[in-house]
Amino acid sequence: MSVSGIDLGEAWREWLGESAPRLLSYARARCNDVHEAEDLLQDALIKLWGYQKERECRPPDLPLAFSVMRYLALDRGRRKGRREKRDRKIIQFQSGEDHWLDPTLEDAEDSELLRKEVEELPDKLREALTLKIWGGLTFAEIGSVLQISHNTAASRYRYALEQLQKKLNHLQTIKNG
Amino acid sequence: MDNTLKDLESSLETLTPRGLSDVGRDDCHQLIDQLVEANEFSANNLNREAGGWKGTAAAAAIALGIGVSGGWFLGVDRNSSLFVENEKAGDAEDVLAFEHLDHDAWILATESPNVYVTKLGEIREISREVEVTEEVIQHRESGLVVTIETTDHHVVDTPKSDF
Repeated sequence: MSVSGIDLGEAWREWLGESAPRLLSYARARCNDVHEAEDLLQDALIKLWGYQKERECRPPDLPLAFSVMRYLALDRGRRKGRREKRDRKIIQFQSGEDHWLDPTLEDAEDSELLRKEVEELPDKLREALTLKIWGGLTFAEIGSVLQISHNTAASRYRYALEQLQKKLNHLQTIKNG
Repeated sequence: MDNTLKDLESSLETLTPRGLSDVGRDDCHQLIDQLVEANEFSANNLNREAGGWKGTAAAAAIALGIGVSGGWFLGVDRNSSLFVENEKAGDAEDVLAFEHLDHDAWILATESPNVYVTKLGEIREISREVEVTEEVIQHRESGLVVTIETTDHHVVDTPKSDF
């Protein structure tokens, strides 16, 4: 179908191609496994389509997509029980088989280490880091998605980096004996 | 931000998020196609464009079906939330395009009532009924006859007068 000369199906597929990796990296940080993350993305697509009806069904802005993903993830988490979800997520991260980051760089030891440390960050810090680095959002947009001030978003991001650096330094010291 | 953190930031940026799986991508594309089609159907139906009577008939059948299940045709106000949600101006027009030919309703199944005593000491009996309603409608323009069968589950709660 065409609205104002735009093929909607094509426009949304293109949008998905560009945004899916970013949205999935966020979803995977909040879901138990990759299948649940993809389900979450599909649920978000339906919601976003509904929201965009007021805008001729054009593909949405990325911050709105992240907001919807977050809302749906929170809703799922609430329904399933947060504790159960968190416990299972730790098991998933330790298994190492279901990384939410591309395993193509698995050969680089430092990258592997970095990913592992990112996954072990506290939820709030990892969320800010994910939205900034892989979501490509500004602090103002992160603040809007997480419903916090942009200063808090920036603080969480910086604190996440500091924690990562601290851990990596520590691991490097151990490695060097 | 000091240089160490900036270096770390750069290292993080080199890690690439994994994309959708092939199955996930196919599912999403299929979903997008469905959403586009649904939107197209809705737009055509709203504008009464080339979709013709078939789309209208489908919408009317849904509206009528919901109306029947909500007690609309029977003159019973059952406060069907579905009916309220679908109560749009277009639906009423769709229904006018059809002639109501026949109506029938019967009880399909009942179960033995259970007797219980209320807090006030009143003896009552409760049972479940399955009611089937059949509506036969005809599309005025095409002559197509549609039969809509609705199944309603009722809880019957009445005072028990004798044993």
